[in-house]
Amino acid sequence: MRYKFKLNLWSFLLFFFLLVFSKNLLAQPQGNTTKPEAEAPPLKIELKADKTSFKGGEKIKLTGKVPEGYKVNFIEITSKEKVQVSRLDRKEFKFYLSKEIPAFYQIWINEEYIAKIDKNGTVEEKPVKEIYQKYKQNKKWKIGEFLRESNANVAFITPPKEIKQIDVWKSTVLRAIIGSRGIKLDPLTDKKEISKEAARLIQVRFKKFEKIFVLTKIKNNPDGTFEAEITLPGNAPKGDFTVLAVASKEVKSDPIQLTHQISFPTVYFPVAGTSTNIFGPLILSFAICTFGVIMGAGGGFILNPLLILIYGLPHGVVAGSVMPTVLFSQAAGIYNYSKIGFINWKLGIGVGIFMLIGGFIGPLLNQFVTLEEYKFIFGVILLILAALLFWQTTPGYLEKNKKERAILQEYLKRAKEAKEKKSS
Amino acid sequence: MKLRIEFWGQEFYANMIIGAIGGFIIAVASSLGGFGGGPFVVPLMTVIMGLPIYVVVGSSLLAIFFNTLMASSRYFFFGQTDLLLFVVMAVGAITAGFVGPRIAKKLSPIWVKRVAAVGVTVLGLKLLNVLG
Repeated sequence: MRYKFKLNLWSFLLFFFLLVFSKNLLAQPQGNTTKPEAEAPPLKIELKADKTSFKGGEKIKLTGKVPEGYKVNFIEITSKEKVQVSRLDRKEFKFYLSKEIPAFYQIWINEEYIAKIDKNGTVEEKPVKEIYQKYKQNKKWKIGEFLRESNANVAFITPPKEIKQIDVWKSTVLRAIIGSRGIKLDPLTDKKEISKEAARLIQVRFKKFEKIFVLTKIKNNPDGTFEAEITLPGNAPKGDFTVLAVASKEVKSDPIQLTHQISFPTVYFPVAGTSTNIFGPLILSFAICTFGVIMGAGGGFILNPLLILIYGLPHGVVAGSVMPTVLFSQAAGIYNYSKIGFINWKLGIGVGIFMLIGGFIGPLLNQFVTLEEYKFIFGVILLILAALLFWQTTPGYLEKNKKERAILQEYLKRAKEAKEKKSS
Repeated sequence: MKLRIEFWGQEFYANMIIGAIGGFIIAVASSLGGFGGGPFVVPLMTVIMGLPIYVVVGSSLLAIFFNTLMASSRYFFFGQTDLLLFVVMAVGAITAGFVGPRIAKKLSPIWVKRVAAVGVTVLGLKLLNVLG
């Protein structure tokens, strides 16, 4: 009994000993074999900029050192300012929206780079210059295809890392009619899906191929150093930018930071995601609205397309920011007309209810249409307006209008007199 | 469906079915584009609904106000209103409201409309990519 217990005790101790030290015993030889690999420094590009803050249009010199056998092929530039971008996928009828899209994003590509495309096992080589030209001319280019074909996807690093949430809705025509984006689905969580959708939203945001991808000369010297020059436009957002130099999927630099300095009168429009001299839009608004008042139609008709054509602002932001500006003048007008009994409430509210419903749906459709479609719809509306304006200058219209205008003036006069009597 | 409208002792009958459909379509288009619908609602009420201009001036403004208010708040809650851009645009528009009428007095309204028609046509064609 006792012996047995002893044996058990010994075996227990032995077991305990093995349990505690086995990790070390087993791990030691393994550690020895992996150590040399861990000790070797990971292949990293050293990246430096000649300044930490810059102004729009200013040249920024990037220099650094690349590990042996590698070349810097891509430079990724990302603004830390974020904007909201959404798009409707017409094939699946899904609506995607993210509030974390960088307000500025570019990948600069070494013009001497030769892209390697893996086509079912056989690797094909193609100069990136050729691919670039092909996509530049294609108006229906797709960002995912270009990233793959040019190997630039190895430099598409920061957006998938920074974008945490992309919301998804399943849209239906019926839901759109009642003014809803659709049935809300779970937000994208899969890293690969976020990366794919982030790229598509970036294309929606910047639209033009050359605005995202830039061919440039990156001088890779034989001694492993490299030089490159980048410039960012003056309308780039204010604040911090992250810059990365990339050679391949594994070999890249740590991000460095640059700050875009803007000073009054240049200001940053946070929702539009653009910096501009504040007097530009101010003078534009004043000039167009003055003309609008003179011709008897609001300024929005001309102002909105000009803001899009001149400043390249997103059409949703333009509509959402210009529309409320007429609220004051409309409210003041209603107040003044109502004081002299010049509003028929039955007629105004009767038509107004249906305009209220229309105003509920319109802004949603604005999110669903692309810039091209928005321009098309707006163009058609403008042509109808032009026809209306022209018709209002024809003799027949003027004749009829003359009589009614005379009565209007007469009524206005009477209304004013009545009001004065009341007040005195 | 006719709506009886009384205005300063006069009586008018307005076709509300046309008014409702027309008002709805104009509201969708104008809130999609982001402009007031004045130049469309006034002809809708005068030409199509057959009301005289003096009944329409004030009431059309009231109808449009419903659309502007709803669309503006929708855009705001969609997160598409840039407050700084809004302020800049509003300052320009309000100043124009004071300056505009003074200049308008000195100009022939017919010629202003003709010039505007040409300008709007050019801009429209540009948006349709007909003009470079």
